[in-house]
Amino acid sequence: MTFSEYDLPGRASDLLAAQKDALEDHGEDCDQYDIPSDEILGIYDDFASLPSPDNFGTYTDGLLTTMEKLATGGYSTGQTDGSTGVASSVLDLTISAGDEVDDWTGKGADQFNIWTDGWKTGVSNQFAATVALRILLNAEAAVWTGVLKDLDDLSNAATKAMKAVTECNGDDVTIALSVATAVVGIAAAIPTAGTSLSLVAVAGAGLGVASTGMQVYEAASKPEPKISSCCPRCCIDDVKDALKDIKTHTREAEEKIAKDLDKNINIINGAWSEFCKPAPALGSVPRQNIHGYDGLGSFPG
Amino acid sequence: MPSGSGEGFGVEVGRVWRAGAVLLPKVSGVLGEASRPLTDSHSWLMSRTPGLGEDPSAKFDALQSLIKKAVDDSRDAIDTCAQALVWAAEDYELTDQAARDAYVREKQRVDS
Repeated sequence: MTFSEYDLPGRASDLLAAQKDALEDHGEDCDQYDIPSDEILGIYDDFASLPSPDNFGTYTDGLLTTMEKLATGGYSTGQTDGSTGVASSVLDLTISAGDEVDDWTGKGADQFNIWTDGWKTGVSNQFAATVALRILLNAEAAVWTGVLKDLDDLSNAATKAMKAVTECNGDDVTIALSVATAVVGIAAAIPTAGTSLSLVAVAGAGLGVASTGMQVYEAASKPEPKISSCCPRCCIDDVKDALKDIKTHTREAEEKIAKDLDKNINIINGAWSEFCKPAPALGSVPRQNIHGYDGLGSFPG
Repeated sequence: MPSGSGEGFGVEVGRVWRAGAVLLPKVSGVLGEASRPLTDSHSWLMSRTPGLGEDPSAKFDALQSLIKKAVDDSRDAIDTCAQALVWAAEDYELTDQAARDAYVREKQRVDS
C-alpha cells in the first residue's frame, strides 16, 4: 500500500504510544519523558495536505499528446523505457499548400509561400516549450514523491527511535532525505529563442523522466538527520528538526522549478514571433481584392 | 470577377481550392488536438497545507497558457489563410467547359 499524508495521523498515534511505553518503563530515569499528547499527535500537521505525485500523470501524458501533434521531427518521449516519437507528418501539408499556390504571381501568394516555409519553426519552438513544461512538471512531481518518501521514512524512524528509548545513551536512528536532491540536475529551459531549434537536442536533453518517477533526479549525496533515542524529548525535537529540513528542501527545490518557469516564460515573451508566426498578408486581403496584385494575382501558365 | 480559361487554368484554381479546403484544415485539426491538453489549471494539483513553500501552480499555468496561445494563434493563421484560398478559388469565373471540368476534377481529387 502506497504511503500518503493521510497515514501521518496514524504514525503520530504510534509515536505517542511508543512514548507512553517509554514513560512507563523509564520515566523515573529522566525528566524529559512526559511530552504532552497534543504535541506528539500534531507533530505532522504541517504536512496534512500535499500534492499527490500520482495525479501528475494525467497532465504529463496530456503534454505528451501535445508533443506528438507538434513534433516536426523525431524525438525522445522522455519515458524510462526509452521510447521515441515520430514527426507529425500532417504539419507538412502546410508546405504542400504553399506549393499549390507557388506559381501564382500575386504578392499575397508569394508571401503565403514564404510563410509556409518558415511556419514550422514556430511550431518546433512550441514543441520545445512543451518539452520544457513537461520536464518541470515531472520535477514538481519528483519533489512531492521525495517529500512523501521522507515523511514515510521519518515517521517510521521516529517511532523506532522512541521504542529504542531505554536509557540516556540509546542508539540513534538515521534517515536519508530524498527531497533534498529531488531536482538536482534539472535543466528545463528552452535552449534558444529566435532560431529554429534542434528537436532531437531538445528532447535528448530532457532528462529521461517517467510521469512521476524521481529516480533520475536522485543524487548520490543526501542529508542524513539522526533521530535520537536518548529520551522522548530528544527524539521529538530531532523529528521536528528533520521536518523543518524537509520543508526547507521542498522550498528550495520549488524555487529552482519556479526560476526555470520564469526563465521559459521570459524567453517566449521576448521572442513571441518565433513561437507564433503571424498570419501572412494573404489572410488580410479583402475578399474582393484577393485575385489582384496583393492577393493571388494571376496564374502565368 | 477575374476569369480564365482552359484545362490548365481549371487545374490551378482547383489546386488553390484544395490547399484551402483540404490541406490546411487538416493542419488546423492537428493544432486543435495539440492545444486541447493545455487547458487545465495546475492549482488543484499543487495545493498543499499553508506554510509548505510557495505554490508554483500560477507559474505553471502561465507557461502553459503562453504555449496554448502560440498554438491557437498558429491555428487561427492557418484557418485565415485557408478561408482566403477557398474564397479565391470559388470566385474565379471559369469561362469554358474544359476549365470547369478540370476544376471539378481537382476538387474531387483525394489528397495524399
